[in-house]
Amino acid sequence: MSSCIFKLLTASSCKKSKKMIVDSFSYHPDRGDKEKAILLQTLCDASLENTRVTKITDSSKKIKGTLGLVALSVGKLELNDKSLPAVIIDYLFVDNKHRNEVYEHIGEKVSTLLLYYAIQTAQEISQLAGARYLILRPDGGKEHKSLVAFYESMNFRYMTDKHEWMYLKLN
Amino acid sequence: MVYTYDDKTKKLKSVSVPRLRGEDAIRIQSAKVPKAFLKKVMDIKLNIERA
Repeated sequence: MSSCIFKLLTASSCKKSKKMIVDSFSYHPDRGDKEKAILLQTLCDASLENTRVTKITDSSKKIKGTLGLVALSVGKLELNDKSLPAVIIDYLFVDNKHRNEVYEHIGEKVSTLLLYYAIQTAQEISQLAGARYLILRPDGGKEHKSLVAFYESMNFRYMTDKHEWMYLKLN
Repeated sequence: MVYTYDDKTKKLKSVSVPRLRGEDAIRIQSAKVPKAFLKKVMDIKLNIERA
């Protein structure tokens, strides 16, 4: 087990602290405006309980602050007029300082741990309340090759040849 | 809610979950569940603090 801890943010903490949370992170030098805007909007959605945000921190305190977060919601995937429940990864964000880093005491990339958390949560939902798929839309689409390769390594597959949404079948 | 960002207008736009028909829909519905992978992930002990 890694030394990381996952903690769900309450709607009220997202409402009260969204600016502080956004300002606490460092961002990609080119995509920073985009990342900040999406993160702020995601926290606004979380304050209205339309998505749930979970943060990841290093419980050993060797690395200070929040390493990243993931926002999950539920929705319906419509396939040939069938409406199938799905868990949606609304946003997966890793602080720019920690991207692609594998810290010895953590043992995995932060993004990998956040995706493990999303998959475990989606599986729990699928067992307790029914959800057939975990779905996401990679930022940057197919042009972001390393990101797509990462999701493919986690068994996500593109829904169509437009290369937008990806899915992982849960049951 | 999933968003895209327009670099020119610097505005966000929400993206709807797709509605698929035909071969894509059939392929997704008939896809195999990656059971071994899911078991591997579920067996990983994560330190999760629930509210």
